[in-house]
Amino acid sequence: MRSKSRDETGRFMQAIAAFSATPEKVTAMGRELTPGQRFPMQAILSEINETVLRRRLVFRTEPEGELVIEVSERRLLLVEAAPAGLTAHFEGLAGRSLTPEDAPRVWALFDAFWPGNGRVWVTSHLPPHQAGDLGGMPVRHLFEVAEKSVLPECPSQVVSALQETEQRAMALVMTRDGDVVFEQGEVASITALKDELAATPHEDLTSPGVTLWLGGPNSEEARLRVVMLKDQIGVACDPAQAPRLFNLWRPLIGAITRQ
Amino acid sequence: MTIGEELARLRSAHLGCRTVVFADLSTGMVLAASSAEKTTQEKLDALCQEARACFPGPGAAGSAGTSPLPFVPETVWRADASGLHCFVKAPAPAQEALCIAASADAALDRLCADAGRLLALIAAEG
Repeated sequence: MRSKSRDETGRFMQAIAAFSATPEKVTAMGRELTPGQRFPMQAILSEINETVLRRRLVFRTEPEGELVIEVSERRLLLVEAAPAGLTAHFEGLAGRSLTPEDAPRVWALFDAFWPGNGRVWVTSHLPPHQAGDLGGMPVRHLFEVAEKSVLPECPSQVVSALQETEQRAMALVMTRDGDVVFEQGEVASITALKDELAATPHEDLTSPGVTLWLGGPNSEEARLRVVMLKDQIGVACDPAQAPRLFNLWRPLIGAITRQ
Repeated sequence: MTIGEELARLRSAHLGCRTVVFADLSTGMVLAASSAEKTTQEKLDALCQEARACFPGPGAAGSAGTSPLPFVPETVWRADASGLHCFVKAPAPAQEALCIAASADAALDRLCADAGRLLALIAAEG
């Protein structure tokens, strides 16, 4: 679990960054969304996550696609409308109260609406009616589906280990055949990890293994490196988390080397 | 107590600690060793070479001063097909290290902490 102090520091840094950020431009189409760092759809999920009062959010793409949803208290209540070209994705979801079980289908609809290319704008409106409690789906269920969809194709044990590592690390970079396929965490640490992975001699990558580097007693960082056939994973983490992460990966390496 | 005896005491004090090697990383030379099982000089040398490759960090292959790591590593844990190993290096400029082969049930954190203390003791005794 990410430490409370780190979360608070992260929120503080986001608030500081917001003060110095370029003002968002609002046009007749609405406010333009910036694709998420990890996956474009992160921007839409963040809009839902940041909406506490009941609102109707209208997402627009060029030239005329509109996805209309109703949200409240960080929950997705309804999908009211979707572009005509997405009827197959929209069927069965239209206008009804959503539940957590709908998360994969809603994610598929969102992903088809905005696969990451092109621009998307959003406007927020008061809903035309204030119906009673419609239930709805907490946005975290969509984040969970998103996490699974952006992780590279790996055995389920590796995916589980990746997810736990991601939660406990400052930053994580995964490469496959030398190309970055996944990255998460603090930007400066990601950049450093990429440099370290690129600097590793090829002969060090020929056999699976997990290596943990720990600094002196006052060091604030540790490094973990996992090598699995074509994949390399570099992790920057708190030294207190490092032994747990090492022991998380060690059995997987053993299983790979026995194959 | 001789260094060999100190190594044996460290090894016997920790469950799963199979071999302890006191090595000079600058030359790759094994200076002393203690093993719970019969072993060969080649295996001790291989453990020492693995330690040289692990310090000071990924990509540096033992060439001090070129590490891309944002810190100077003091301890390295490694698990691969050859087993579970950990390495504890004396603070710079010293180049000595303890290289340890362990089984899966070893508590590496406690083992490495004691190894660090033993290194400091050996350094103090000169």
